[in-house]
Amino acid sequence: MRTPRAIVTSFLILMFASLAGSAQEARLKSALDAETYAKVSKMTDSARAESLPVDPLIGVALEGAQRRAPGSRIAGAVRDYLAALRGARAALGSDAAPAEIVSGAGVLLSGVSSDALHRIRLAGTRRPLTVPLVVLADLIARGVPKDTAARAIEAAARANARDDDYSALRRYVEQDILAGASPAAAAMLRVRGITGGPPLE
Amino acid sequence: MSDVDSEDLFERAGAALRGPSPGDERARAALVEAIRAESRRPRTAHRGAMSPWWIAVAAAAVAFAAGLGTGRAMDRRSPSPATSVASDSSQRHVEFVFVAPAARNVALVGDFNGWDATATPMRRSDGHATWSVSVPLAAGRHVYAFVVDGNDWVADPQAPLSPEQWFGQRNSVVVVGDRRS
Repeated sequence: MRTPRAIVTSFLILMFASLAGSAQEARLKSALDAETYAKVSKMTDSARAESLPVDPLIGVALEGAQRRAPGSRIAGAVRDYLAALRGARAALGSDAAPAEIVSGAGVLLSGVSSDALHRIRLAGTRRPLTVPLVVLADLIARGVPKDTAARAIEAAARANARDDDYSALRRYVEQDILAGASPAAAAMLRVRGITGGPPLE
Repeated sequence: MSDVDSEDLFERAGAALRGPSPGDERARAALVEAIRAESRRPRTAHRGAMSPWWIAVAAAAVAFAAGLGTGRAMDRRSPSPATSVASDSSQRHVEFVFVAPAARNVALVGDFNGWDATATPMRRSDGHATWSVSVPLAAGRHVYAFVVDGNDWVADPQAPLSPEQWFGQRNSVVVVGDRRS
């Protein structure tokens, strides 16, 4: 009989998730001053009500507390992150996985437009976008212009690239940049290995 | 720069960090930046140590390969012996490795441990300059950093950088694959 077992398993998972969430909330309360905690709690409640990922918001607040950032800065970071999460879900669609939404938020925070993010979603419908979006944000952080990086990832998604293709792209672009290549040229050259040009190797 | 040169740089930087003149903050900051810059070099300086990024991909590949008979995502290196897949289906063990020969202690901080520098100390390998720790992570995207000697937050030189700089410094990102995917 699978049903009772499934019910027990679901119950245990829910119980574990609830306990973990409570622990996070308790940790947050002890790490922040009362005013900041109230502001952050309001935003995490909003995220929860909108079925957006909550843990990343709590994570940012805890990081700020550990880095001894002022409360206003912590609350500002959580506010900006919440806005980015909303934007990412709007661009990626309501069926996007939480990890895709979080990665998409990072891409928006890197300066990529929501239109460009939406185009990547349309180009890559067959595979999860978490790794491609993490790689996109990394390329931008390493100096690839955001439009060039977004086009490269969109082209790779259209070519049905796998996670390890994106990982290789990131690694090769990083090596090229360290060797003195222009970040834009490195990204455009290396993505050809995925989209049908010469192989990456 | 060879591995020996690289080690020498780490040694000198670390020795200075431990040195008796902590008042010279500018010199200290310059040395920390030197470590970061050196850390951004290709992985030859890391003697084949796998980053969590690759370990997570490799772990996903282990599960994937079990069904399809391919290990393509494992890159060209063998996975670390310490890498393992957790027994419960919702989490995977991911090994974090960091090279810091002169550090007195290194801790792992991230969204998975509340960024608590006391929660996940890393273990120094006997006779080696590497620090490592294995932690169970749920599937998804995680952000993390290393804390060297209790003060200096350093991104993982082998991993993708996080786009967010909420508090003035980038962290690193690891993606843990869902075992069901």
